[in-house]
Amino acid sequence: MTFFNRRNFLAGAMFLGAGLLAGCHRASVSPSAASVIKIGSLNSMTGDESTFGKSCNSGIRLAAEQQNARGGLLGKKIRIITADSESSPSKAQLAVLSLIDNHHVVAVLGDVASSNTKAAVPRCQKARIPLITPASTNPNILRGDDYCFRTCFTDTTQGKWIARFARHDLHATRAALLVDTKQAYSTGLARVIRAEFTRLGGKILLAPSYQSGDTNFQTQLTQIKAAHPQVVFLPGYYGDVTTILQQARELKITVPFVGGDGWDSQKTLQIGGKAVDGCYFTNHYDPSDPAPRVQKFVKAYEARYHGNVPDAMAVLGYDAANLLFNAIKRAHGTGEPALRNAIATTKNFPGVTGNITINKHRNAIKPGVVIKIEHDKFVVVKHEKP
Amino acid sequence: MSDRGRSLAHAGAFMALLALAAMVSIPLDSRAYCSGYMHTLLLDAGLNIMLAVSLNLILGIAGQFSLGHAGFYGVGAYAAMLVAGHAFAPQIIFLCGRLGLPVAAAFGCVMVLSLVAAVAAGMLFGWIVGLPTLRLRGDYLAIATLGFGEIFAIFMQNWRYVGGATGQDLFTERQNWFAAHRHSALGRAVEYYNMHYSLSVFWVFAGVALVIMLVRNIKYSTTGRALLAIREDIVASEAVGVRTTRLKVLAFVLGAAMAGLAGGLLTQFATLDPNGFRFMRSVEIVAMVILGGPGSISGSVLAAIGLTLFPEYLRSSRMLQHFGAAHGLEIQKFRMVIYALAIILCMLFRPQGLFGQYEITDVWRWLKRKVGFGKVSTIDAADAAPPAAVTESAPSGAAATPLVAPTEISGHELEVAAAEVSGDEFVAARPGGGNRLLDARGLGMSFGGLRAVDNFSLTVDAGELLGLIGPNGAGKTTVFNMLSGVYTPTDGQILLQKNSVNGWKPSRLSHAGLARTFQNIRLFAKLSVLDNVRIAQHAQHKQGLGAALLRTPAFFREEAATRQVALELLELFNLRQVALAPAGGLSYGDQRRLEIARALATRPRLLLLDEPAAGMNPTEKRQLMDLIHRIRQRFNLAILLIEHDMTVVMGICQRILVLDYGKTIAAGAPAEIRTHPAVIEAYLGRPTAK
Amino acid sequence: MMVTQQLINALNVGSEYALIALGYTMVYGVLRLINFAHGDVFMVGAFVGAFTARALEGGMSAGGHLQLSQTLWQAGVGLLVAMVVCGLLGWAIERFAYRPLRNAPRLSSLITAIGVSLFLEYMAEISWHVGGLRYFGSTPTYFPPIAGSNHGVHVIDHVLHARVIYKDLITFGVCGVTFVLLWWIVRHTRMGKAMRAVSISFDASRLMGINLNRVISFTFILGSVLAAVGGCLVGLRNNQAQPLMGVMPGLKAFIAAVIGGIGNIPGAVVGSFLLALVETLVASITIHGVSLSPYRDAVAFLILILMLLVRPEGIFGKAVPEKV
Repeated sequence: MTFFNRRNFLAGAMFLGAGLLAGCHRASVSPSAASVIKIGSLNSMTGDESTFGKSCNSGIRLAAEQQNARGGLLGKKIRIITADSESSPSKAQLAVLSLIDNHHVVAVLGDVASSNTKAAVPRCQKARIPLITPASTNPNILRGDDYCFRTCFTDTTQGKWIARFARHDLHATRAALLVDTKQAYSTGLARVIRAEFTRLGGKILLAPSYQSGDTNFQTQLTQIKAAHPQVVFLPGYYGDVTTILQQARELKITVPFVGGDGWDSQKTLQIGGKAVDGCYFTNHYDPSDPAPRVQKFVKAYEARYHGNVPDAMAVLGYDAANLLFNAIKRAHGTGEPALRNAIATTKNFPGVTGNITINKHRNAIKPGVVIKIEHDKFVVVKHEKP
Repeated sequence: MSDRGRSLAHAGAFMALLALAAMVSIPLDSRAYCSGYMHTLLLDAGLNIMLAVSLNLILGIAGQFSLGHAGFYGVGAYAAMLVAGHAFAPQIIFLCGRLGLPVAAAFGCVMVLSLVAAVAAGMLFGWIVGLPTLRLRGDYLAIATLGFGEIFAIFMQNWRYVGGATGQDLFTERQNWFAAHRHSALGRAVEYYNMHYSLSVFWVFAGVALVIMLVRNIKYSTTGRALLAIREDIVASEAVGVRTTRLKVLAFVLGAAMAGLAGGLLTQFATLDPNGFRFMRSVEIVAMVILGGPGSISGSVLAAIGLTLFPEYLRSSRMLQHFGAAHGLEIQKFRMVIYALAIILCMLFRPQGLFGQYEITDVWRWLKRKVGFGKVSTIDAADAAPPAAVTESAPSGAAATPLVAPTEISGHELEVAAAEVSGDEFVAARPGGGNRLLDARGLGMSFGGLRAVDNFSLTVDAGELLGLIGPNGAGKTTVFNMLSGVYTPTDGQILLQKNSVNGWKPSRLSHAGLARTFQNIRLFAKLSVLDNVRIAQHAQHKQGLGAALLRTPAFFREEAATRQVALELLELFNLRQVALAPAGGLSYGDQRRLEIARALATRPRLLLLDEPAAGMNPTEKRQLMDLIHRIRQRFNLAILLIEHDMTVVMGICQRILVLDYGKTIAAGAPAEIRTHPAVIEAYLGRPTAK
Repeated sequence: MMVTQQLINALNVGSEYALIALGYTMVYGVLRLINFAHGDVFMVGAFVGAFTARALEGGMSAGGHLQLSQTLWQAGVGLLVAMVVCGLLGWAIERFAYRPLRNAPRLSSLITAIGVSLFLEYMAEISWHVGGLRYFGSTPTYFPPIAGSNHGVHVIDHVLHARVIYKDLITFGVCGVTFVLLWWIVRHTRMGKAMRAVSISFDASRLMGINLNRVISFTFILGSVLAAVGGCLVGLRNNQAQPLMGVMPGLKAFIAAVIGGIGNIPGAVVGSFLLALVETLVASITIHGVSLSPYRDAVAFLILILMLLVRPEGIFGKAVPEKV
């Protein structure tokens, strides 16, 4: 038997070495230094959702860098530790635990995708580490968990805005709904839109679906075209949305499409081009708002990240991080119930996306906007109250 | 050690493992010694081991390429979720509470129920999927199983009751039920328990121990050897009486059940998400099996641990981060890239997998031999079967009667016999007639437009030695394939001992007493010589899979007995000294003889030999003739022989049939055939008219 | 008419699958290896096409509307560069990840294929900033389209009452030309003959003096070039390239290749169109107001499994009776 030659030993050693090191890495993690405040950023750096996760992480890091430049918090520097949730709930669970147990973070910011946040919530709840999700809009993910917060509006709020806008402002009664069944975000939002639109006297003619990752949507669009709706609801993410809209326009579907905050990215304009013209979506804020707090953020972000324009996830991550810093300041520390209580009592925190108040369900009460895409620009056409 | 003692020792070892798991789980479940992160990582690693080992049964041992293993994992997980998260679980917990049972017991009760459901669902789906699809070969099977996994995930994604695309977790479900009962004492107790509950690593370790034990016990039993045979050569397995379809489905169902168990355990501590059971997850499990070495349980275990821990190691390694910082690299960015590279490199360094087809015990033995401590004998200790079963040579109970009395054979004796007898004596030695064994009437076989065999009839009486000759392409092997059930004849009827056997599978024919060899030798090349013979004894095993799994005394008794019989048979064929060598490494002549030995191990009444003398030199041929003669007498066999070598055919056959272009052109005693004009014409051509 | 339109849609989807499936099937035919990294080569093709077109766009015009000739030039050069880069990538993958394992068990190279696939995906998710431009990264990369390619073809609109745009014509045209070229290469060139010989037997081919490594490398390069063409077409159609854009189409194309009889070139094309047709059909069915589209892939898979059970060797695959 030639079981152990040199090569085999190498391979075996690689495996075993990895196992051993992983086994004892706990010992190598030093206890949290007193001079820094560690905050976890739980975001998908790889996989389907990485484009959103990376944006959100960038927003969080920018907030921390700015805060540190201002002298940090309570005399300490902030250190952001990013844990990759790999676009998968089971990895999100491990990632959040590594933040809590290995890095001893005082709070967790994340995740963007609702299904990943859902997996992280019980872990933070049990460990009594506050978690603030900047962008998970699914209303069901934090029901009884009093350590978990949300600084964006929920699908319930957003869905109602979308349905009302289509019914009252676009005067549509006949609509089609195109859902991404792979994304909890899309299915959740679709449910609210359908209920609200029907309640307001509209009719959903048909609701075909797709799965994110598809590259061809013509079949569903052909069906939609044949049904002659006055508006098409498209609660999806911008990567798919731009493709869908192009293919819709190619099929001569000229009615407006209406979507949610998943549309917010400069890429929507660049990739969508003319196809996205005349469509609407609800958003957390108006990126072209001349208000200084918005423009200051946009400039800082572009300067920091190679000229990339921030999207919704970036600004939400930024706001969530600043809200947390604010709470730490008010709590005069990161002690266990104090920090949690400080976050829970946030009132009118001035974020880039508007003033944020945390309600008793630990959700943010926030205004929103409806944006129309016109000639390669986002134009606010309506302000929504919380 | 007696068989009973061995059986008890086996059960004891398992209990000891469980006890060990229980003991280890006490510190590991305590947050003081093991962080929540490590705890979850251990659970994850455990589940991955279960998945890899269970897939190894299907992919590594039975050789069936399934790309839908994560689907079965998901089936188990969702079945457990339906039981523990919906349905009647709240009522059970409340009922237990009313009865005064502790909350923990109520939760445990629900957990066990949900695990049972998970296993049952895994089995059910394994059966539903396996039964039709396992007829497919190789990549086609992979596609079909991949399809199953995707279909399952898509249905879960659209089923709101189990959370749809958002997924669902038990913790939140429970929190939601009891939110309404927050004010009752019981409700508070349940809520408190739910908040502090975490799955003990004991359950997962016990699951791991169970799965490893089950797969190991299958691997080293007649069922496991038959599965390995299927992996090596499905046609040959059928021919030696292995019911391949049934066994493949069995392996599939068992593998699916174990994956289901892993899924059930997953439900107890993690969020279920339909995308977690898709194609990529299946691929990950396949990677574990292949990286570990297909067929090697130890390899699967190690690879599963490695592939679980490695990315997590990259996540938290200070060393890497310092290295990255020193070189201006953000190492976290490259974490998954490194992971992907590691997979490629591992495979390039060890193409046959970490352990190849060996187990950790084999490495131990190898070390022992290399370093030279302990006593190692060649044949009796180094067999892959449980070592305990080997050390004792004599069977303690005669579960199977020995084929050959050990004293009777020796190589020398054979040679002497060969020198003494001449061809004619062979013929005279055994008159034909008596009871009719095989009766084939009017057989015909067409492949598309080609008529390979036409209106072929043949009778073989018990104990008769019959030759079937004809020029190349005459249809001889096709006749064999029809008789042995590889092909179903398009016309005609075959009666084996007066039963019509048309359309019987080769395995069934083998059980009915018909054995064959192949023109192009089809041994189980990677398996040992001994195992080749033992696989052929498959049908004689009376102890089923249950006995093998539980390692009952009867199982050990039977294993030892069949082993003894196999060794005796090998002795007869002069192959005992190479019993542990892989069959593919034998010399050509040895391979031919091993194939005959293997056929004999099925205890046939009729043996079909397809060109046994092909490629042999004159001395070997003479020995072969003698061997055929002797085995016919000793085992009271009828033999049907295809052979090109006329000295062999004319020397030993009592009756000869000549086939040309699918038609019988002559039949009779050797002397008649030798002068038959049609035969001469078929072989030499028509004499040109002058 | 809706039915005509859906058939055209199916043709579109089928073309996309076919270009990837051809690469799968060629590699399989020669090496008996499922090259899981193939979908990711497709992705790299789209990215390279996008970068090239973007660079040309930046270099030649300063704002304003781009003309047809300019955009056509961009896309054409982008396609060529993508073909070259992917050809090299395909060669490198074979040389370094598969060749060392040629004599190892078949499943070992399957695992390196998966490793390569993951490697390419994860690499593509990391963004690099060079000269103020972003290369790769999770955020979609803009692929400059061909001007006017999204206009309808009037004649077809009149005759068939269905919309066909110039992009569709480009897709069908490129797909058709590629298929014919490939057919010619495999059937009528020395290399093609060598490829066919190698696919039957390594050993016999070697004995006949065929340079095995060269033939296999050529097959990989050819397959990867086809993937690049597919990637650029999809990139042009959707105006973007993304790191995971090859995953689903790759999986579907693999299935299509198996359906057609893996290893068989016309089979891959027929399988692709059949799969596209089944998908389109399922997605367009609505029963009592409930669309079957969420179950599109599930039903398509189910039909394909049933088909395999009836015809286990695929449509064009020959049922080779095992020689016993």
